[in-house]
Amino acid sequence: MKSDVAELLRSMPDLEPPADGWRRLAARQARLNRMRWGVGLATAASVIVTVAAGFLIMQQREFAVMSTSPPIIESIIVSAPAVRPEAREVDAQVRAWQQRSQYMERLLSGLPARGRIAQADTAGVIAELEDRIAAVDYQLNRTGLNKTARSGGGIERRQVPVDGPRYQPAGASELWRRRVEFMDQLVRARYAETGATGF
Amino acid sequence: MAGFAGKTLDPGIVEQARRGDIRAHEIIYRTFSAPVYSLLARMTGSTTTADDLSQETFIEVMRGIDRFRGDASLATWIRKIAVSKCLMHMRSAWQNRATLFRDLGENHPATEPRIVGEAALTNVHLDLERALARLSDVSRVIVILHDIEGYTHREIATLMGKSVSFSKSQLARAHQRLRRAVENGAQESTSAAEKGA
Repeated sequence: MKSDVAELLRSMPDLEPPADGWRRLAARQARLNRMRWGVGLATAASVIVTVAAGFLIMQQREFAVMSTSPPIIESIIVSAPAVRPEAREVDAQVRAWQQRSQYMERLLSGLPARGRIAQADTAGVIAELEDRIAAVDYQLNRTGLNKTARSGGGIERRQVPVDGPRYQPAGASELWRRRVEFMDQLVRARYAETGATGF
Repeated sequence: MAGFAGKTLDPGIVEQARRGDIRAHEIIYRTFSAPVYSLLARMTGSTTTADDLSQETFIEVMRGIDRFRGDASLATWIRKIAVSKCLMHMRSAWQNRATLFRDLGENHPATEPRIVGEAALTNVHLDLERALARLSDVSRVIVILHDIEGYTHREIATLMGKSVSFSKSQLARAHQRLRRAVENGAQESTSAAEKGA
């Protein structure tokens, strides 16, 4: 049975909220929106700074390695290989690309293992690059230009034979150049991924 | 009509609010600010706290309007947010408030709320408001949720983490006190009228 008091309570009129309630609410909401934008921008900026700092550090390490490498490495880094050079030069260029590829492998293996949570777009880029590297490796293997060995990743990691065949076919230089280019992109993508996931 | 009952809005306004239209937000605020504020002021017994919680309620309403699917009415959804905000506030401040009021030697701070439409104001309502403010926090919340907002004892028990029988017994005791307050008020009014005559 409903109480008489309950009936009286239900008949109570509404109380008047403060007159400036909407003005304060609108101002507060605008402030919160600005803060949300600010936090978003700050997060984006910190990610960019982290990635940029990472690249700088990598570049410095790379420079240190290159400066202690044989002179032929420096010449390859400074000037890209020509299209159809002499066989001896091709061999030197291939070895230079191989060493550079080996260095990129070391950088890659130095990065922390990939977590289970990854940004979809970065993960897609990484998968694409790994596929391209695998395709280059396949061509290198098919033409018998090198030996390959698995090293735990999703792609076939090349153990670069520094003391490989004395003379390489001209196409090898281009394949190795492409491999280094993809490896470089892969390292950058992986570095960005670890930076974005809080490494 | 007082309270949330009968407060409806064109679905187009809700759609505009979802798109972030500030005018739609203002319409929602102006439609529901009085029932939200009244509910919170009566539950907390403090107009200042009610104002703060009312602002927080509407901030959440505007942020979360995307989540409103229309299964229940907009009024029910907003009321649920307000009740949740209030109970969270009371849980966090419960112990502090209890200590403070014990130290001050009173149950609750005096509130002088203004009523929407002064014509609707009657002595019995004033007596009820004062008596409500003198109830304990728990009793007052149960009375308001059950008698004014129409919650069941089971719903109240779930919200407050108490048993159904606890809710029922608190309500019965609160009704006794409120009834007495109204009767005393009526007697005082009669005596005053007789003295005046």
